[in-house]
Amino acid sequence: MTLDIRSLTFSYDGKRNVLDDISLSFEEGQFVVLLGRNGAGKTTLFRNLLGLLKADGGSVHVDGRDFLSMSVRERAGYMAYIPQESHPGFSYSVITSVLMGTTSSLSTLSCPGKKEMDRAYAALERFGLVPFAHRMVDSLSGGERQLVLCARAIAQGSRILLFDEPTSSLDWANQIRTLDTIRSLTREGYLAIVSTHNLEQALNWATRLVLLKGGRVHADGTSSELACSCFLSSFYDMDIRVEKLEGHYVCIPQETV
Amino acid sequence: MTTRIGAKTKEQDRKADVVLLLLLVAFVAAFFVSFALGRYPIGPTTLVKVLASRIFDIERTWTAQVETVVFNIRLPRVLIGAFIGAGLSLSGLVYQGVFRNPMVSPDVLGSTSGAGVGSALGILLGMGYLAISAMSFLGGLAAVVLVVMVARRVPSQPVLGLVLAGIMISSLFSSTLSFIKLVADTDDVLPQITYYLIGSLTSTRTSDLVGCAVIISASSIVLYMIRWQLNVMTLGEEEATSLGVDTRLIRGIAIVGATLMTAVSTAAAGMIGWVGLVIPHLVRMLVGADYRHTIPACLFLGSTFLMVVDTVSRTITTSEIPIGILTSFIGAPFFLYLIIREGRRT
Repeated sequence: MTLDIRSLTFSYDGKRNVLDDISLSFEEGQFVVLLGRNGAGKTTLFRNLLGLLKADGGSVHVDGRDFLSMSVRERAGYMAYIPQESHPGFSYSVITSVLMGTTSSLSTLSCPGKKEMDRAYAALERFGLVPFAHRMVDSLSGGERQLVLCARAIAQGSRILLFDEPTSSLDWANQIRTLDTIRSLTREGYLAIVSTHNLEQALNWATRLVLLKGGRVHADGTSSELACSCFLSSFYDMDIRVEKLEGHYVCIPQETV
Repeated sequence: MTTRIGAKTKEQDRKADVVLLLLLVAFVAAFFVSFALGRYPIGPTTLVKVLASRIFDIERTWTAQVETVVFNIRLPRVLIGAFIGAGLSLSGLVYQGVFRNPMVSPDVLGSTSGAGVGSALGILLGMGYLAISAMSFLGGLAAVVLVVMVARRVPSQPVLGLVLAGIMISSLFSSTLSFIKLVADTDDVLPQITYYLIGSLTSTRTSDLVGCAVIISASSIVLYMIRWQLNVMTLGEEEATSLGVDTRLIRGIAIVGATLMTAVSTAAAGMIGWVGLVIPHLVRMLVGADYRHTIPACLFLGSTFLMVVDTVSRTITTSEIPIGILTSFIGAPFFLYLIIREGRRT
């Protein structure tokens, strides 16, 4: 399974390109982290891929098929989205929430049946959520809610997973668990594209880093290729020292207020 | 393990089914009680006999007056109360889901105030009854078209755009209504407009009943068919799209269906407020938020509620109290309770 983005361009106002000639190619099993400062174009790229915004130019192909001309339902069969947090208008049980992941396999007029229920249960089992099946989602902790969203994405059956800042609202232990979960999913063959602001986590967990700056691809490579103090200092306009401690990258800011 | 969860899910579905069955019983009970009570009370045995006489050959032991009251006065009134109660409640349920806001009611798209202006204008221009109903319907639709057109100018925030446009258009139509009242003849036309808009089932006719029955039944069926998509819509634009829901299509169907039901109800009985807010909340307390359960529950409870309130409105005092006044007396404190409850939660 491959995801090819070619010369993707997008502008909100027709003047300034928020995505400027983005070309990237991804393969299954990759743990890709999108890094970039605020306004670099990470969210806009996700919104273009999800069909919430219409690109001004360029193309996206999944397994050679034109992704941008697919219907919303067809796209959902290839690509799932895991938001930072989910705030449904009303409260649903865990099983109903996960069952919503199966929507793209249903016609507009039908409801989930036994087949969809089995898929939802399998997803719950995959993340150890079976004891929570009948709890209301809003009674769960942040980490458990993140797992419910992961289970929903797996029930969706898509092989490409877009994670929008999955760790930003979690405590430290749950951040590590979530990153490990994403890593285990990529080892099963899923392609995970994760946007984050956490540089250290990106360097330590990702198999590939894509750095966006001003709507363009600034750099694209592995941690060992990009974990360079002077390169990252110029990217963030700030002195950063990158050290490796017992196999883990540690980033130390050199400027303090 | 899967079997165990499956059993538990079935058990929860069964619980919802039991609630639905109880609501159905309440609906049937309210239907017959509404028939029996009124300024001309009819005993239960006579009522059953009169109703059955249309199907079976039963000896007539009642007067022609009883038959007139049952079939020409009460039947249309009870039925229209049931349809309007169901329609307004379902409108509220659908709007609240699509706008992801539990405080939203059918008035949000301006359809109620638009329909009000349409009918007031019809009365002012001295139109006939049918023309007034048509004007009311057109007014409601015009308000919605205006709201949607304004909201389209804010493509990045479709839901917020719709709600704000709804508030703006409602306010515009309210001012238009005030203007119509200002220029209306205070002796004749003004009282007529005021009484028409106050919300009452007194002056409903057979043509109203047919209109309400057809439009509310058709809209309910269509909305029930897209019940699962409505569930997913409550996750919001971004997530619903990523899960494969054509949000523009579903939102369009939901808004058109709900607005049609509101417009046809206002055309038939004037402005009956709060039903679309109170009933969906009660329903979610009883069966949860899943549209697979809330749609039928809303239809039963909404119609039961309006039949009961209408019966109270025509039996509590010697002169009938317009139903719109009673629903406000019930709805406003309930709304206050909801706000306080929400405040405590956050």
